[in-house]
Amino acid sequence: MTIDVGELTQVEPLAQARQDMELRTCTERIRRLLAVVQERMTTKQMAWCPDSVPQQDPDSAPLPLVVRHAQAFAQVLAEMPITIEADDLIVGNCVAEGVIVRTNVADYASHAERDQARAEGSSIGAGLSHKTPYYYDVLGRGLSSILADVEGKVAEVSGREPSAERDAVLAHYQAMIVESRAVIGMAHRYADLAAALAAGAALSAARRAELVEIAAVCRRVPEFPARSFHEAIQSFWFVHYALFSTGTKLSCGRLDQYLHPSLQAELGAGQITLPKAQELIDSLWLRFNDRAQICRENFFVSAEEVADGKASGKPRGGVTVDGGPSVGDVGHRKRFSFATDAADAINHFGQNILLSGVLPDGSDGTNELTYLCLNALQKFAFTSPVVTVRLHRDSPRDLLSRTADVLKTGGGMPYVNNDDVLVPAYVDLGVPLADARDYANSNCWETMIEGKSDQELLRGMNFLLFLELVLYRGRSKVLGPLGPDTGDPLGFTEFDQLLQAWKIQLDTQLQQGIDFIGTGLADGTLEQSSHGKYKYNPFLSALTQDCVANERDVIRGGARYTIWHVMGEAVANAIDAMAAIRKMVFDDGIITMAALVEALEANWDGHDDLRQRILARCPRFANNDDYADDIGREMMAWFVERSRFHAARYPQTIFPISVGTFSWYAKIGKEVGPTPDGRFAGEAIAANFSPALGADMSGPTAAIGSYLKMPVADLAAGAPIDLRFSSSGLQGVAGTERLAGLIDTFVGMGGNMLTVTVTDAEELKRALIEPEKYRHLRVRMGGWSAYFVMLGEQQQRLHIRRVEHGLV
Amino acid sequence: MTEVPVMTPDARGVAAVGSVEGLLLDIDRFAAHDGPGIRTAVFLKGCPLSCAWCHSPESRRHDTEILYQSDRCTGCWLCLEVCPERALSKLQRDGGDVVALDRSQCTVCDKCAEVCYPGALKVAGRRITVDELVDDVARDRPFFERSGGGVTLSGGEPARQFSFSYNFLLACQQRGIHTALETTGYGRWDVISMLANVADLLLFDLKFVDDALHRRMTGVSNRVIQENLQRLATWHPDLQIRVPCIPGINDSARHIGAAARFVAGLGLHHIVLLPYNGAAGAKYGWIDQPFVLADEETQSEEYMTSLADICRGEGLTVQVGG
Repeated sequence: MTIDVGELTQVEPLAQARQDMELRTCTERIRRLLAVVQERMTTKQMAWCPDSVPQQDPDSAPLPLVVRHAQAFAQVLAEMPITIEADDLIVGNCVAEGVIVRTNVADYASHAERDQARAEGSSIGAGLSHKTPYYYDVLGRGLSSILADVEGKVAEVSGREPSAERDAVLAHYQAMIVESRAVIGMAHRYADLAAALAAGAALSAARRAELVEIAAVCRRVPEFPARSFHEAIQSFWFVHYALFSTGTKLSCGRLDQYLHPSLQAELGAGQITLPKAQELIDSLWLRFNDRAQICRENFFVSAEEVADGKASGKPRGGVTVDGGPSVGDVGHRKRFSFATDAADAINHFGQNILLSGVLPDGSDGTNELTYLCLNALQKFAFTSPVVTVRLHRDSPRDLLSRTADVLKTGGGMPYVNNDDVLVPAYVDLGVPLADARDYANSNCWETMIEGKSDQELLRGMNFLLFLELVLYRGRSKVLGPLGPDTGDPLGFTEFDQLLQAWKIQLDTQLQQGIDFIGTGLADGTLEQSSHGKYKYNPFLSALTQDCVANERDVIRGGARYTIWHVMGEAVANAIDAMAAIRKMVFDDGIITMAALVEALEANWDGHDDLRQRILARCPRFANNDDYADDIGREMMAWFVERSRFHAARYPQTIFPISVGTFSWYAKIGKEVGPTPDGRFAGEAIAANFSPALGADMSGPTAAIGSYLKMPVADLAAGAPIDLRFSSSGLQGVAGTERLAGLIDTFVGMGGNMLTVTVTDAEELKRALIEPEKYRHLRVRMGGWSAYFVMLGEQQQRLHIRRVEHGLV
Repeated sequence: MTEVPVMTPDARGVAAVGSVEGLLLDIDRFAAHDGPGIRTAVFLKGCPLSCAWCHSPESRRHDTEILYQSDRCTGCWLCLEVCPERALSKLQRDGGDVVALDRSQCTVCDKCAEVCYPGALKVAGRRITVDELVDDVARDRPFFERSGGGVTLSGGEPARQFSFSYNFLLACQQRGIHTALETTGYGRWDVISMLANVADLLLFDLKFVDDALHRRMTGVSNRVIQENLQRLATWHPDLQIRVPCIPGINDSARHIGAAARFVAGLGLHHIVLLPYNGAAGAKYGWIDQPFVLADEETQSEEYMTSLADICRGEGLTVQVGG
């Protein structure tokens, strides 16, 4: 419904934000800005790096590495090509001659330092992800106030007895100051540019006034507190953009919360209208997508081209090399990786925002911005930012309906988190309630505490692989020796022996993984996931609570919470495989374990009848069938119990657990041979905590029923179940309410995370044939949404199969 | 036909009999076209009509039967070995071997389906008690409650299994589950009215107003259907008339206009137009029966809108799709 203007004065801003159809359309300005972004999404980008490098400057060579890091950081912000284009309101895009520029930090270490780092098994570099600055401080206090804190600490620390340790702390603070001032300096570059443009000829009076305002805004933020909604958005964007431009790609937390005070104040004072606020949010939304790229040929060069010498083996000019799969040591064990996995992630850059949810005081956080952001998500249909709506038992029904409404437009967003489960799960891990209520998603669905966390992922708890280790006495078919010999499975006479052996395999891996992280963090030797002896994050540390007070970098225990998320993988497949063995071998005695292992050895070749029989007759997860679900519950309970047990050795670190895959279900499957659930060697596994391909034969309510029997309340890091619906089943208001009812039930019954995709397999098949016509088609990839045409063909075909099976 | 007095529309004082057995075809959870909210649709077997466009021909017989989907057959021929009646044989078709079933010899003993792991051979129809079925559907009660959904009993024609249908719907109501009944309306008034009593929502099919056409296309007269409908319209609190729009059969402006006038004449205010389900034809092959209609596409959105406008012209509110 469109609310006519006469009515508007009667309508509360919240209701208007939710209902006003005008807000769901683009203004003329936004339409023009959108056209620019869309055109650039198909244009090749260029890479840029500053010419001079700090270590060549004789004055800076003796400086500590962290300070040179800061100088290199500052150099990018001072020199990168900046522009303010026609119609821009929120500024901060790196463009040269109409081409998007991907910036890089110059090399700031000497060759000797690099060699030494390499000899120590470390490396020198900048850039990380999976954290969120504490934006409440950036907007509420400004960088100047944070700098004052840092300078206070400098005075305090300078008074201590001289020592190498003291000097290291001072160098860390010096780097924070250099980087923070560089961000302010970058804002001033934009202020100068806006002022210069405003002074130019051939401008409309309106645009001149806008440029004058932009100059004033950039002169003020992020140095000082944001007073207006425009200043708040610009302040946020400058900080995010500065980090992004220097290689640190972060999620953005509770955007509708930290931006809200300024909007509320302006609305109250009658200084802004909702259409104006929507235009600012829309401008920000477009900024999030400036660097998106939806032409594969602009992003990848193939392995063949590299072999032919047509392209170098390193990312260059914004191009990533498609080198095919490789195996290597990652963390505590060997793993597979694909260069093309970058493809599904490139277009959201881990920019994740959350909307609504419980506030630290326990009240509901739904506000005007919640709806303005949903409007932007719907109107642009981009993959960035990744949007999650936090729901709980007291969420307004209107928000559920609007969420369902937006989901029906495709693309699989927003995702749904259940605060009633995730907040208590963090409290159980020792996080105080008020902080737990400010949990946020990291770059994908995995959780952390907003603005107060160093969060990273411990991968590799592949439940299906551990069953393989049981069947082959500790040997993986693909990766070789990996676990203990848990006895000859051919000698097992009851199912419990098998389950027990599996538990030992999981326990061993949990112990190795958690010890690897825990001891590495404790003694500072961890070289993993942006952590390392020579890694520094001064600016992010200045913006993460309590790094300044703790005198430490965010990755060295400076953050209030150090969170290593332990992810259980291939859980649905493992449940199905266990249930198949139990039924075929132990309960019904249809085949012997030896015969089953023989069929697996042959990758089912010559055993198709057996495979078909298992697929048709064995109970599987997602059908609300206790036979399979009871096995799953026991496996999951063990995962919960043992992760807690091992984590207890490292009280400084929180190890929340999850069940998931992100978009890696193909590569996780690659490391497992044929399995008793009828799966072939290397075949993809189920995404996240979703049913295995073809396993859910009883509809979404039964799939949720099985899922809810698992201990999802103990999975603080998240446990998304991905469901897919055909658009024909959700038509009209009745369809929206049906979907809203499903979401409401999921939340009310204690589900953890839910993603819903409304897609059409036929459309995807057409996109496979004529990609150029479907460049903007979004699909869900386990952890985020991706542009379908950017995926590798194998991933595309897998995706279509999943859609045809009612999965995404 | 025995005339019985109209029942009061509240039968909740009577206890449902849980041991009554019925013949179930299928259960569809999160059914999209069978009433409001999240619904579990229960399809029973057996229907006195034989509509030419029927999209579940395997629901017509009030008996179990074997379905054969040749595209799922992997040619393992295990079924030929296990059939005690030797009713199965190999048949050359389209350059490949498929299974031929001699239905005159088949006792539906289930042995072939039991060994058919790819699911080419299946038994349609299984016996189930009211208690078993209610326990099964009640697992989704939280979804029903939060979405304004419930259970929809459909067929076949539920009236064909009156005792089972009645007790099932009553038992659902007694467990606080919203009930809908999808019916052809064809049956004795006492049967139809008793079922209507335990259906919170009545989804009543209206195929043709013209009796000759009705006889030709469904095999039965619509006289009793219209009589039942006229009586139900006087007292059922939530009666929804649904017109399945079959291309070239009853989806002309004239037919839909007649249907709309008939509905308005009953004093009802709402009509549901169901676009054609284009995927119906394949199922006829599963039971070795011919599909007499040509394969038709579903109607365009524009065409359905034009039909809806005709109904609005008769003073009705219109919903397109279930």
